[in-house]
Amino acid sequence: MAGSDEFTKEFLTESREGLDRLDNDLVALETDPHDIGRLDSAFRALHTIKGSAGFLDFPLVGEIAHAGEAILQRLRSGQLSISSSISDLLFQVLDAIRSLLATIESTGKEGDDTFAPLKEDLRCIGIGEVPAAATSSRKPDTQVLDLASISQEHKTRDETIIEPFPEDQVEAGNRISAASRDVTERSLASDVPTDATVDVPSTGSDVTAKHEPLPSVSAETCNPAVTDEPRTPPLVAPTTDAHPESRSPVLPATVTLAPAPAAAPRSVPEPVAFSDSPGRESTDSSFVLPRGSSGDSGGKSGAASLVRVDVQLLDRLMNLVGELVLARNQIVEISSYRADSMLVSPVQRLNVLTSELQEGVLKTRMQQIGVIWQRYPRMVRDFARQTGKEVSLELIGAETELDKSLVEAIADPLIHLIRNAIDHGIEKPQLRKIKGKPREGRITLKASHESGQVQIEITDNGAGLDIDKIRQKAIQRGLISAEESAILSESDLHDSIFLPGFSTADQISNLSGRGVGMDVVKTNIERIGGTIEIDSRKDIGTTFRLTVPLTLAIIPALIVTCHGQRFAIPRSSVMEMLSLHGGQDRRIEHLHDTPVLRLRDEVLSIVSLSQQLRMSDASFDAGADVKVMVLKTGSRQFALIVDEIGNSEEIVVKPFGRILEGMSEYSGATIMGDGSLALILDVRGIAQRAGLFAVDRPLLQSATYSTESAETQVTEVESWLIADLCPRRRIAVPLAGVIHLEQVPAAKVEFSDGQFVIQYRGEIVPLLDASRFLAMSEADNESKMMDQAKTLSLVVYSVNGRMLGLVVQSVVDIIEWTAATLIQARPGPIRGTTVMLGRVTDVVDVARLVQAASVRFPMATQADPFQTTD
Amino acid sequence: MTSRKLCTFHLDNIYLGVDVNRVQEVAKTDHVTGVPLADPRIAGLINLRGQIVTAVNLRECLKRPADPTARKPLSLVVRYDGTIVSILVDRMGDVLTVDDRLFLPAPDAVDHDVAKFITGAYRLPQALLLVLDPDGIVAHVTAAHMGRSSR
Repeated sequence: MAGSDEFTKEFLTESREGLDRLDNDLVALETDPHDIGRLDSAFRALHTIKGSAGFLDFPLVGEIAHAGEAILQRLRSGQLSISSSISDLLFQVLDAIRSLLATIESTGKEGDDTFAPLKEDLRCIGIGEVPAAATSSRKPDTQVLDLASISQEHKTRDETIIEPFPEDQVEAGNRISAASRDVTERSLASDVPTDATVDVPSTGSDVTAKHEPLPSVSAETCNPAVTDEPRTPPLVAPTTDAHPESRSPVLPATVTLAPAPAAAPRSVPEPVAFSDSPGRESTDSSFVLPRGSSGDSGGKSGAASLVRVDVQLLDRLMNLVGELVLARNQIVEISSYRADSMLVSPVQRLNVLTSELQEGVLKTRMQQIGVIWQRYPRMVRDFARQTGKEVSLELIGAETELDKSLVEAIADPLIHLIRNAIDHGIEKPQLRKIKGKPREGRITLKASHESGQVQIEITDNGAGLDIDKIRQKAIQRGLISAEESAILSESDLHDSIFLPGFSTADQISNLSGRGVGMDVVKTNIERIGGTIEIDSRKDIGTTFRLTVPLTLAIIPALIVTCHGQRFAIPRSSVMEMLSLHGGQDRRIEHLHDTPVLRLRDEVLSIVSLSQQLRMSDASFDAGADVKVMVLKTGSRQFALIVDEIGNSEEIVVKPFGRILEGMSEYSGATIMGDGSLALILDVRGIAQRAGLFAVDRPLLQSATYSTESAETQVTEVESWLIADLCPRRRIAVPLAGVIHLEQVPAAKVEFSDGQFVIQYRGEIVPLLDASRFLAMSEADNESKMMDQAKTLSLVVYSVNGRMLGLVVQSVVDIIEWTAATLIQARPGPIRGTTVMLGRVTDVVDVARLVQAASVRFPMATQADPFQTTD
Repeated sequence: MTSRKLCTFHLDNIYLGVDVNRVQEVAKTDHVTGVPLADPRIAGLINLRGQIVTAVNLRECLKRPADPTARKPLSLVVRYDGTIVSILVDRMGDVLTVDDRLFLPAPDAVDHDVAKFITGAYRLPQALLLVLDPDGIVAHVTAAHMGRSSR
């Protein structure tokens, strides 16, 4: 049994490859029915499957493969010509074999499914299980097909679908089939019993009688179609019933109909494309395959120099080489301490050999991306049909190589993107025509190597992303607020389709639009260290640009230390590294609970690694010297404080075992030169853990602190400082007026001229307790300034050139927002109320607040020369 | 088939055993690299001849107090579901052939949480030998990290 298992496994692998090739051959044949090479290749592939199935005793596989072969045989001999119904049937044959193979793989047997509907369809065109039957039922089959094709032709012309066609056309059809019958009779006379060929078209009863000795086949299934109900397209009807979901009756598809074998039954006839316009548009889906990428008829030629290797063996080799690299590193390290000349040269040699070996093994794992692209032509064809669209697929750069695990990792995201492109991107043919585009949409997949990475572009020439719809949906689903949507740029809005729970599909279709997907696509791409970008223009099309690394196994990383433990951070996510000295370096603004780093024009959230990993509870000390890594994940950046920043090293990534796989903070571990382990940080996971992208907002850009007057005309997008006054009261003030944010002990507060003041930068600055003045409805009316033990959060604000200390409970955030969307404006310190970051927020006019609270700015004074100020 | 072979070991003052067929090897642990944020029942990762293996803190699983005086634990490398996991134990015992007639299903007296990892016990003349269920341990600590990948 063991031996036969081995054969079965091989049979399964080979048959699947054959089926994939067949898919492409058939799709190509739909475009070019005269490609004899393709036809031969398809025929051979099916023949091989049939042969192996017979040898291993899988009769059903053999039977179905035989039926498919019979169809192909007729296509070869010109007795049949490719039509959409024929190719559908062939695809069904392939699918049936596929599902049988799956059953065989899991159970070892063919299973109970007899594929009766498929066999029925096959019989309907006269291909039965017994070769003899197939031969003798050829004649009616020819006629049926002609009728089917003609009916399709008229459908296309009339733009009506599944409508009985007028009498005169039926007659026309009959005339043609009659003509063809004559010829077929003559050409087949030798191998068909005479009585079976006579009188076929006239009455059903005749045929039934005459066909008695044959499998009931044509009598039952075809006759009603041919004679009793000549208005129904004979072939389409039964199949549609059998698999209503598997095909759409709406086929704007055009059918290439061979002008009846009459003209030249044995030679390949010139096809006549019935469609309103000539050229490419005559096919519903056409595919441009790169040379040699698939379906090449001479596929066997290179077989002798190729070996099939078990992936597990490759993985093991890969692991061993990884070990060897580590051992090599250790030896190199040791030898560097010893001045032993005997060692130097063998160590060097070992060094070089190991590197070469590693490179070689990495190469064995490289796979052409075309491997997964092979499935796409068929997929696109099917999707296009289901959605009633006309789509051609172009594949460029199929020979681009990347690591096998990566090829597999991007397969599903790519399928998803292609589906989306067909479902949402490409317009219906009618609409495209109105827009002045060719009826047929085009999807291009392009892969290329780009500075040590692989870039894959999926481009469609469809409608482009609908910004207004995205904005509307994102708000509707509560993914962003109306205010946020107003300030987001076009590309940020594009990015919001990656948010979980997003879908713009008006209707949930079979293909996409279930609201899951794009976020998963993004997550999957990012998991392998890749990125995804969107470029979309209305009515021109959309491009998704994926950038993925060549291999996952070895990546350059920076080693950092935190609490004595080493961590690796992939270099691809490190933007820059800073060493900040405490004291004079004021780039870290300590805003209560939200420390931020001001880096040039940007304000970055800053988090401490030891705190995030709960290695220490101490909140970080802004006064101390710190090492900071500026990291990016997606298009967002943040700063991470670590203890030490070490070397950059090439590390061998080892996945965690299954137990720790669920941890999003790490992407694996690696073995260092000294044999110890270092955890590899997942930058995105850390950012999420820190709650940095809870709203997935874009980075705060150009939120510059200004000492300019607050008298700014609010029309455009502005930056706002958000602060809490008490737990349920939140305000926003224009950031432009904010001079500084300070934490001051309440003990420093002094009293002067009937108001609280503080000495700040050599000035006497009046304090305004915003909590007390604005939070009137709240019970908490006791001013914090009286409590000497407390620390005050102070927003130092510029009012008409003078400084004011605005006391708040805490500073929450800085956001960009358009003031135009205020709910209502009214006189008084509160200019209006709106919702920011999901909370009701009062927009405060500080100048008016100063008036209302009758704050008096002290006369300009000389600062106390004997007192140092803060 | 009324007997089975157990690989026995000690943890604290408990006498435990694992089906000998599940044990790949026993290794010394030089260094266990801690994994911050992981479940406390995970001791960390060990480098087993170049393979990174998760080490389970059995002490924590069985709710035994940490022993500051303990020497370096031994790593009992157990196979499960096509991969391996290391269980940190204090000291190895013998491989015993035990008579199934002496088997008792998990005693009720054992703390409920602990019972999840113990399939039962053999009443041996010298001591009670608890049978550890490695799959139960793996399932529980794995579950503790699931769902953490979402925000």
